[in-house]
Amino acid sequence: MTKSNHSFEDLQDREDRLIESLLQRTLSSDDEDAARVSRLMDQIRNDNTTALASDSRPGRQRLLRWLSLPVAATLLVIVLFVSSSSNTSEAAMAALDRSIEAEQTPAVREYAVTITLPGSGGTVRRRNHTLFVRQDEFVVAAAPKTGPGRIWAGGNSETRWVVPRNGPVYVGQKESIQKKQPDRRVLETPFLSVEQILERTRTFYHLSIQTTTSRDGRRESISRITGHRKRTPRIVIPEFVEIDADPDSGVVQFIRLKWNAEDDSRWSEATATLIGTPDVPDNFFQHAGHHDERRRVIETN
Amino acid sequence: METLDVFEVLVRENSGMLTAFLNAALPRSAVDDVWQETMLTAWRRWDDYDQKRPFGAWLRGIATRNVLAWQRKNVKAHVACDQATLEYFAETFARMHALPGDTFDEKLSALRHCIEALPEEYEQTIRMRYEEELKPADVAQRLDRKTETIKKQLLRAKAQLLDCITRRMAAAAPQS
Repeated sequence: MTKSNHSFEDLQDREDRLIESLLQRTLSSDDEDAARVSRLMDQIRNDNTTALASDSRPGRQRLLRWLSLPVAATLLVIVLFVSSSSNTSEAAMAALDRSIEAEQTPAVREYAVTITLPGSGGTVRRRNHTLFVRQDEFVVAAAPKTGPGRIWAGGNSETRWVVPRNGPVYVGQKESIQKKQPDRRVLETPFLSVEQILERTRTFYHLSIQTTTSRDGRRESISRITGHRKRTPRIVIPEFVEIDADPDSGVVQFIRLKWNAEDDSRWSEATATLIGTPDVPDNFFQHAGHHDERRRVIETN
Repeated sequence: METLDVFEVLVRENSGMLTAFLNAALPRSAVDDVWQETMLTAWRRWDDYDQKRPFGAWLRGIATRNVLAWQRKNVKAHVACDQATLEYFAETFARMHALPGDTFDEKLSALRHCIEALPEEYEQTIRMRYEEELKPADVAQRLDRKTETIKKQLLRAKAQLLDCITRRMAAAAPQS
């Protein structure tokens, strides 16, 4: 048997191994991944490989060797051209930083969210829900597919809970609950963390900013930050981001995310509009705040 | 620091995919070390990464070389993969990229739908085996069946799931 000429048993064995690994990933809760990533990033930072990345890697050395005077002169012209637009980029960065700081305060903010999903034959579907955020905690309230009432879901950067209209309440780690909870659709939203959107916008987008009036015309001055996705890296994130923020407090008033249809994203557009800063009960960001205490609670971990 | 931030986001988005890829290719005891080595190699060779290509595909290329290196050092290991098998895994994972969803775990929704479409007794057996992580003998005991019957059910269910996910990948693939 040559390497390219496998027996039927070999083929069956490799197909079995493939589907086994996919089933393990799909059905069993693997908490190891987050720990692996943390260990890796700690090691990279401790090894001071950051310096390696910026100074001594072969690609950069090659670049320096080729950086002759004419090339340097051309680059200087480009740098001067780019610097004329960098002020607006820096102002946008500063506005984003203000908004990130505002997200780190313990205020509760309520947003009306609309998600547009591409349908077959060029049609679209829309889903609406209400989002409450407080630092890294969130609560989503959505109508069930059919019938009255609301489904409540919430969590933070690590945990999730879902309170369906009927039946048991599910509580657990993010990965485990998304695999096991029948109403997980409620958690499938791009807006669980406003702060994360702001951080990503800061890192992955070419930014600009303008001062304009608010969409509803009630505010004369609002900072509108727009971000166009950088060409790299090739990951599926929205192609276009628009963020309206209060110029003084930094509080985000409106977010629009638009995906490129060629990216095969499940969403085509999503908006979040600030409704207000409601007073909520102490246990609002916990599942207990949304169900009768006699209700059965299932731990999915 | 921006480079490291970008790298960290890509690592987080691809960690599940790499774990599944290595689980298919290696014994479980080796997955952690080879995962770490693969990611460290990716960081050290960041300048070589063609950012027009998917990060996941580049990562699988590094992982393939690391799996082969691990096997050369551990010739007595029970689980062994040749180059062609690793290429089969890499091609399948590449085709999964076309499935709907932003992350690898979201793309696995397709497999969840396939599981839900199985005949009821097959679905039950699959869930007991992989969700509850019971051995076939324990599944048999709980369902009051013979172990051989359960093993056959698992084989047939997995064949149906592979067929189902392959069809979904083909349907999701961009038309050339």
